[in-house]
Amino acid sequence: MSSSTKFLTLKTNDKEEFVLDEAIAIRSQTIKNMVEDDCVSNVIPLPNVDSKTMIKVIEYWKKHSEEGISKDKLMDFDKAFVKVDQSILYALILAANFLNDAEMLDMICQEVANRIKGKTPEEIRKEFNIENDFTPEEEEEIRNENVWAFE
Amino acid sequence: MVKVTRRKQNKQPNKKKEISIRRRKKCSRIVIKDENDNRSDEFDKLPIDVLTCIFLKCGLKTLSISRCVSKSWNDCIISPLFVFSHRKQEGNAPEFLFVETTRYLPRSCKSKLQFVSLDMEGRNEDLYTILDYPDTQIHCNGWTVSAGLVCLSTACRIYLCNPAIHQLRELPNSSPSATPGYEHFGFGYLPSKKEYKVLHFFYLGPPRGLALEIDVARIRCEVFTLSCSGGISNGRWKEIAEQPPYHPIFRGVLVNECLYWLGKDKIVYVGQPRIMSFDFENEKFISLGFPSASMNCQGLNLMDLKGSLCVADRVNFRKSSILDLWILKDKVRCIWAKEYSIDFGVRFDPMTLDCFHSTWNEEIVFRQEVGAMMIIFFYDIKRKTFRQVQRHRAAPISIYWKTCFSLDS
Repeated sequence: MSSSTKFLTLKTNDKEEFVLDEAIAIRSQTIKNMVEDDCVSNVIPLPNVDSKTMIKVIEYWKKHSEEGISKDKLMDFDKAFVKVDQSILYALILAANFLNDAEMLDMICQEVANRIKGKTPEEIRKEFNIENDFTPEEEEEIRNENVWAFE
Repeated sequence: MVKVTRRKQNKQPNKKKEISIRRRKKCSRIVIKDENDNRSDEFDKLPIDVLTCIFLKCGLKTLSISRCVSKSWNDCIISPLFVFSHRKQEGNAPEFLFVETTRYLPRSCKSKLQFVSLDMEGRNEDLYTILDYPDTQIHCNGWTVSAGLVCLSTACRIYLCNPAIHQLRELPNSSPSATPGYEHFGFGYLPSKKEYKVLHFFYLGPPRGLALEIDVARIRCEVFTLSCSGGISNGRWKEIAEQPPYHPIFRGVLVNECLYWLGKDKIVYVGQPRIMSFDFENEKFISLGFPSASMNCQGLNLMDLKGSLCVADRVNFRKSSILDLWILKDKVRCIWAKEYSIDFGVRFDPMTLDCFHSTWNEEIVFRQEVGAMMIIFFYDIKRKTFRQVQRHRAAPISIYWKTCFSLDS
C-alpha cells in the first residue's frame, strides 16, 4: 500500500488547489490526523490558510523532506525562510498553528522572539502592529514593576 | 548552480504574479487593503498558545519589557501557566545563588543587595543588583530560596525577592513577637497549588528580656500565601489554628510540599532534638523522632533528597569519615531507612563540611569553607563519584531556578 506514492489535494481558502505527496503533507499533524482517521475525500480544505502562505509552507515542507540534506543547509534555508515581512510572518504563524506543524511553528516563534529582543515597547508595538490598550496609569504601573529592564 | 538559482528567481515572481492576479479578481477588497498598507497582522491577537510559544523563547528582560506592550501580552506573560512553563522549560537549568554583598549607601540612605548566580559547573556568572530599598538590616544569613524567589528576613520584617527581575518587596506586617528577635520562618513553593507560602513563628508574650525563657506554649504561627495573581500587596497573613509543638531551629526545609524544622521544646536544651513538620494541605503540625538515638542537634542537617526528607548523621561522620544518610520512608509511622553511606576518605575536615538542601539530578551538594575559599562538592549517589567547583569567596549558597514570576501582579 505504502509503496506507491499517494497524493493529496489541499485547497486553500482562496480556492487554490495544491497537489502534494502525502508523505510531505503529513508533516502537518492536522492533515496526518485526517489521513489516519480516513476522513479524507479527494480534497482537503484548509479554511484558515491562503494560497500565498501555502506556497511558503510547501516550500518549507519540501526542503525539510529532502533526503540527505545537511543540517547546515537546513539552517541556512530556515534563516532565509523567515526573512519576510511581519505580515507574511504572521500568516505563517497562523498557518503553522492551524496545520499543527510544531517544528515550523517553533522556528517562526523563535524568529518573532528575535525580533522582539532589544526593542522598546513602542518599537515593538509599531513593528508588530499592536495597539496600546493600556491607560497611561496602567502602563506606568507595569513599568514601575520592571524598572530594571528599562535601564 | 548559478543557473538553478536564476531559474528559481525567475519562477517565483511569476508564481506570485499569478496569484496576485487571481486574487485581484476574486477578492479585490483584500488587494486594496494591501495597497493601502492597512495591515491585518495584529500580533496581540495571536492565539494564547502561540504567544506562549514565542514568549518561552524570550529572556527575562525581554519579557519584562514585553509586558508593557499590550494587555493581552501582559496577561499571557503573568499567567500562572506561563510562569510555570517558563521555569520548567529546557535551557532554564538550575544554578547556584549567592548573596554577594549587602552594602549601605550613606548618601542616599539606601541599601544595595547583590546576588550572584553560577551554573552547576561553576561558570557563567550572573550578577543581580537590587538598589533602592530602605532597610539596612538585611543580611545574608536569614534567607531561603524556593522556585526562583528568595525570602529574606530582618529582626522585624520579611521580604521576598526575585533576583532575576530585580524585585524586592516587603511582606505586609506580620504579627509582632513580644520578645524582640524571636523571628523564625519557613518558605517554599507548592507546585500543586502554584503558590508560594511563608510561614512565620511569633511569640505571644509576656515580653521577656531573654529569648532563653521562651515558653513553647506561647509560640504561634501564621502563613502568608502568594499566588500567581494578585501580588504581595493583596496577600494577608492567616493565623494557623494549631499550635507548633516545638520551637523551630534553623531554616525550614521544604520537602514534597511539607516544611520540616529541627525542633526543641526549650531554647537552650542539650538533648535529643525532634523534627517538626508542617503540612500545608491540612495545616497541621506533626512531630517526628530521629532514626538514631545517638544523633544530636550539632550533627544534623535536614535535606530534600529526591522528594524525601533526608537526615545526615554527622556525629558518626566525625568519627569515621563515613556519612550516613537516613531517608524518611513513612511520615505517619515515623519509619526511617539508612539508604546511603558516603565514604569521604580524607577529603574533608568533617568540622568544616556543611551540606545543604540538595539533589539536582543524582547529585548531593556539599559546601566547605577553607579560609576565604569555598569548595562545592557534588556527590553522585548512583556512580558514587565526587566532583568539585571552587570559588574565591565564601558565602551561603542555594540552588536556584530563574523565574519571571512578578511579586506585584
